[in-house]
Amino acid sequence: MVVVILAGYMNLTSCSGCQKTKQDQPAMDNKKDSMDQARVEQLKKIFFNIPSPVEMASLIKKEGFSYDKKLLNKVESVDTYVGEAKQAVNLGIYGADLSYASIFDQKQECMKYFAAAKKLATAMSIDGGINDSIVAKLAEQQENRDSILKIVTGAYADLNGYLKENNRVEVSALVISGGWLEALYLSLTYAEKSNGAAIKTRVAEQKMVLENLLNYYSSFADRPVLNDMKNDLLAIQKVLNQVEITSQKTTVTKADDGMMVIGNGGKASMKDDTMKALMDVVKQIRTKYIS
Amino acid sequence: MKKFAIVIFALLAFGITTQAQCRAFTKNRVLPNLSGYIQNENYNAALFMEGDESEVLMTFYGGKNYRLVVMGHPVLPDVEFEVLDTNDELLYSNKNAENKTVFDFRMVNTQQLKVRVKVPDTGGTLVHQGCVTIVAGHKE
Repeated sequence: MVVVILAGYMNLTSCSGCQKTKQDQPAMDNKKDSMDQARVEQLKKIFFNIPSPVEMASLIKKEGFSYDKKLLNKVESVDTYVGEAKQAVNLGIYGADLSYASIFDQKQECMKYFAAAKKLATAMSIDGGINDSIVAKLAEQQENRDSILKIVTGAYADLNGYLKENNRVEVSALVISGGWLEALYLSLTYAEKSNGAAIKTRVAEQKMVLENLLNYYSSFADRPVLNDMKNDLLAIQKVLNQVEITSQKTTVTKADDGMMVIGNGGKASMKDDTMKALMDVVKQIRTKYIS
Repeated sequence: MKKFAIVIFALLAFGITTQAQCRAFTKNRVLPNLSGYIQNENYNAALFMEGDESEVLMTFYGGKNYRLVVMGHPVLPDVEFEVLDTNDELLYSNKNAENKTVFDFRMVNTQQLKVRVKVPDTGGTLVHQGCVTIVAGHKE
């Protein structure tokens, strides 16, 4: 009896790779259409991508700036974050801080931020991504920056995977948004300095990223847990709409080393008063979430 | 009653395990292909059936090298993927590529690109279903 139940369940359950006969599928055209649309919508929620906070942090370092611990969200605040939305956003914020610390080889800081992220993940009952074995791995690799980066980014990717596969896609959206917000805040801080031109351009380019992020939010039906962050992102978009992006026809060529080179595309520019207005709104929103 | 509870528990545990298969597939089969690149923290993997397709819009920063890895579970036919700009101009297709799962490229300027994936429909009586994963990594 147990074997029969298990065999029947295996036929119905998805797996990483399996097969079914077409005769097992219902032959009702109306149902097929609605199931296809449901699958399309489900895939839209899973297949979403914005650049990693690591990329912003690596530009900051590449431009010759120094690490500034005072910019980051305090790890001591971790216990004050209550409620899934605030915890998720700060999990993302700590992730961006962790990326920043990793890029600047701040090993002890990395351990602290990873511990804070783990605390939040545990409080949110997230079993994937950040666990004791990953923390131990990070401790072992303290002398190797590339390994630290691999562990950190891998842990957050797995965490997002866990959330998506356990029907907590909204939580994943909030984690990603928190990471983006913090990376934007850190970049703005450096963009304001002299020699910050390249970072200022990168900040201006966030107009494209934010448009993608807000489109992602619109793929969810009204979800109260996302409302606050959605409104905050819209406030940021109001300022970023002043950024000008010129576009040219994309070109594809081959470099001497055989690498495909994708050229032209768009160029973003932002006036100083727009950057100041952006920093004001980002600071206000960030303070709301981290305090 | 105890035996019934054990069976139900086993069924639930099996369900949870199968949902995690795409994460395991991504970690064990896909991510090793990103060696030398820093992985993006987004997760783009799901179960696809033959004939399914999807698309993800990604932003790639100017001045960086990227690697895109698109892989399907071996039970599926070779996954087709294309890279297009936001005007739907085709920039790359893996159809005639030597390496069907990896695309390395360099960006001159920051740009949004679409990555479109499709599992071909073989038209057979057996419907194959398996994980399809898209991962991106960068380096200076």
